[in-house]
Amino acid sequence: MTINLKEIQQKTYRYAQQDGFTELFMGIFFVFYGGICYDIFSDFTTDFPAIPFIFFFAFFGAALEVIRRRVTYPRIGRAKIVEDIKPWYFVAVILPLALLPAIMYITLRFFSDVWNVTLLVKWSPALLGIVLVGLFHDRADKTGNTLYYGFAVLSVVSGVVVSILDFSPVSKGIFIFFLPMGGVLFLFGLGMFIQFVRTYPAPEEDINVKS
Amino acid sequence: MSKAEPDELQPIADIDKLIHEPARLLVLAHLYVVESADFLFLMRQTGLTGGNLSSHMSKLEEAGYIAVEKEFVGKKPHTMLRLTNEGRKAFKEYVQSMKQVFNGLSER
Repeated sequence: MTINLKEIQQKTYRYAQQDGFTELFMGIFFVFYGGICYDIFSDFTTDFPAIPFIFFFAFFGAALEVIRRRVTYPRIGRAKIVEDIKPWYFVAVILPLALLPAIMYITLRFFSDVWNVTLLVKWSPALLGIVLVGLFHDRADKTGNTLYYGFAVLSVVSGVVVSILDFSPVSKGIFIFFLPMGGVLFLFGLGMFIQFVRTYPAPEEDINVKS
Repeated sequence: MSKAEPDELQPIADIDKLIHEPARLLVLAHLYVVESADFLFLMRQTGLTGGNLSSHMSKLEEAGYIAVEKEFVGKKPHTMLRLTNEGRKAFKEYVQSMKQVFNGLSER
């Protein structure tokens, strides 16, 4: 028997997240996020539905918990994982993802006469592809699953490729980048879910009773 | 052969015997890395049987190392276990004790 706390932590995280719901929701988030950016970068001229995204984002955590209570916890039990957001993650991932749409909006509104905004819009997929490396590294570190580094490579390569290609309008590139990324994550999560219900086909009888 | 000095044996004597039992060590290690966990989760993660886990839980709870909290999930009662501050401190001290025991042990 070996006691390696880092490995136990990773194993615990992997075990608790094996239902695939986090990846499923991340996939949906990416598609919505790409659409919102596309709409903003196009100065709100597209028909992409922003309102459902706001609801999705606002209620995503609560919805995930409701689904897990019905599907996941009865099968494998429940643990409250220590979710600490490391400072580097906040600065390198959360802030750029949160601020980029706002920065683009302000730039388009007030500085489009001064700066070459088209260049910024064209290369935003490459920039975001690099930002997502941090997200996937965090996931790999928490789960111990190095497959997430494959997603990191995919995000950089696809970000650069999409940025090199020409789209009309230019802003479409950001949606073209996030749509397959979100799709792949969604399918990955779906595969995990299918594997999960095959491994644990039926919920356990309620044994959470202290004897 | 020289006898070991009493000071050299102190780290071994200081080992917390409650934690030193393999199954309880496993339970505490798993609780150390989470905020809390329920019985089913711990059972699956540690590989212990329900009865075995329950017995060790009782000992750890008696010692004040773990807290058992009942909450309601919908209308069903649900039991969550977590390491107390005392339990966390005791676990860290146990890890330190074990490191001291093997510190400086030469390879043969």
